[in-house]
Amino acid sequence: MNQLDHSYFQQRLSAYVDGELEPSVRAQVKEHLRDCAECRDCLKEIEKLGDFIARESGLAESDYWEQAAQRIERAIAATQPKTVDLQTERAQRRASPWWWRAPAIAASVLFLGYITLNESSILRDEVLIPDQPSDTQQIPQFEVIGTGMDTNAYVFEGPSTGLRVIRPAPPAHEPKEEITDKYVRKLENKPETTLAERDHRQESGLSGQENTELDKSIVTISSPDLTTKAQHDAAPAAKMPEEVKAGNAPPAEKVVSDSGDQNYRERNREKGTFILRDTLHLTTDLYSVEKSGESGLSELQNEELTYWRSIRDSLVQQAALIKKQDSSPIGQALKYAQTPARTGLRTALSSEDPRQRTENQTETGLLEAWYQVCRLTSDSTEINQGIGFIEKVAVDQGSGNRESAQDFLQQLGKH
Amino acid sequence: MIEKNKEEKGSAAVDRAEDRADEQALVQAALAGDRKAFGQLLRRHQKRLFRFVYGLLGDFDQAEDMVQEAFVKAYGALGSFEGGRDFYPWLSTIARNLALNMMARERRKESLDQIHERGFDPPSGDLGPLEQLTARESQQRFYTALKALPEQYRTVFMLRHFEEMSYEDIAAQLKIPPGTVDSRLYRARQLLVAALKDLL
Repeated sequence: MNQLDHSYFQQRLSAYVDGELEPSVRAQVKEHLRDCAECRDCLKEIEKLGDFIARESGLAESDYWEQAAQRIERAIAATQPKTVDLQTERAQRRASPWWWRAPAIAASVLFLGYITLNESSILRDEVLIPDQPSDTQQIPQFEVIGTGMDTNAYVFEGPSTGLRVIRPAPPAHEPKEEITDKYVRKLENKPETTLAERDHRQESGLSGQENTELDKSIVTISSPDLTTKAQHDAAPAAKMPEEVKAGNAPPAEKVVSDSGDQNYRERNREKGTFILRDTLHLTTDLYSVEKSGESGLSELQNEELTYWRSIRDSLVQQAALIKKQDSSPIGQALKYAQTPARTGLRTALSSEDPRQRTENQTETGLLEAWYQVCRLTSDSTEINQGIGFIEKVAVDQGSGNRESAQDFLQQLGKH
Repeated sequence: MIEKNKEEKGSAAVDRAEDRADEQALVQAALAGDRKAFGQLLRRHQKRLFRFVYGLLGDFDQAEDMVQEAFVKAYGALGSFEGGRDFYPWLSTIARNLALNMMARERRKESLDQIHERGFDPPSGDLGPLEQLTARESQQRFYTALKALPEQYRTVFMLRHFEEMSYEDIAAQLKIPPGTVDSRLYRARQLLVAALKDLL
């Protein structure tokens, strides 16, 4: 027996124990074992290892298993549509005496009474944004719905994506003189008031001075030549309540019905300056890239490009803000949930965490903004950046925007 | 003596048959939407499944998540389970595929990150929370040695020892030649024998 034979047979011992050898090879190994003490020892060790594993690999009883089972059951329940056991619910309701519910009923009555008595002023404080774009539009637009001192936030609404982004307002500072003049003129030459305000003005018979005040207080910025009814439907934002952020604001018609109120007018007059200044600042942002307009594009296309660049930049800022929140507990939990193995956890978190919804929406918006920029720009660095981003989303298995990204890439390929 | 052995074997066979019938009833109830029945199936198999998945992944947290995901997926796919078959092999196939896919993804990720990561995260013998689930030192030694095996050896070893898969099935599952299964398994056993020699 030479060394080569020995190694060959020794390496077959594992398969020999498992009964995985061809009969002829098995017979050869058996014969070799008769002559080779080393291989016999090796075989014994492999067999002992099998016994050891059978004996020692079992895991101990522990509370852990029941806790884990319950956790898994909760994860399963979270993936199932919720069903209400009406019989059980009714039985539970009947089981509790009526007077237990008296405080809740009393509170509801008081609350409803308060709402009824103060209906007009409560409605006035709301910022009302239509959930859906109300007009058909060829080119997606974003508009400043409003801005407020209280929340320092802007709201963008993209009709084609349904995107709604809230970003912190830039610090209020005096715009440069020449820009201010230019854009005040620009704004004043445009139909700047909302339909609601026009109705309001007609109904209340405001004086010329009051009209000017209102014009200043409510400014709707729209993409040039692309003004739509959706923009007119938007109301000024004196304040940004939570429901706006959640995207469940009541329909815009309520604003119209609220017109003609004296307090409304006064409040806007008081805050007008600030609203105008903030809006101007943003206007400056939007058009500051005008200088870098590209040759080969029409004026309208240049404006469109500028528009999409500013939206892209806003969304990049938005994304950066989201990333900053990663150090928060929910951010940490989400980060932990990013691995593919944690689908259950991810599902549970995403159903509760508005931040993740915002993150997805931001990605949707960025995708569209980059696509539009790539379509219009001739700057190769910018195109590469944009396509890089879109490609990243297109191959991201976990992204809900993957298909859109693939479509965008296809369309860009045709350009 | 022989009679006694026969009796024992017969009794074990009856137990198995009863277990199987019992399990089939639970599967049927779960199929009809009884979540409690599925809960019982879960409690029957979770430990075994966890042990297998932990053996593959070598990481407690990942194994925990993977087992959860396997059960969630199994519950969602119960409609595709063929009645009359054993539940555990079906369940462990789901877990195995999930785990192997994840390992493949991690490998790809590692190849990208390895320049940064190499040397900073040496393999650790620390069992982490699993230590609480191992009653004896010999068990801890086994899992530590298993965790220290190179991933390729460990995968083949786990599929053979814990899933009792044939070399041919392992080869098909991992898309490697049967000869490679043989050599990896031999090498895994050699390493484990060396690590556990004093306990065998």
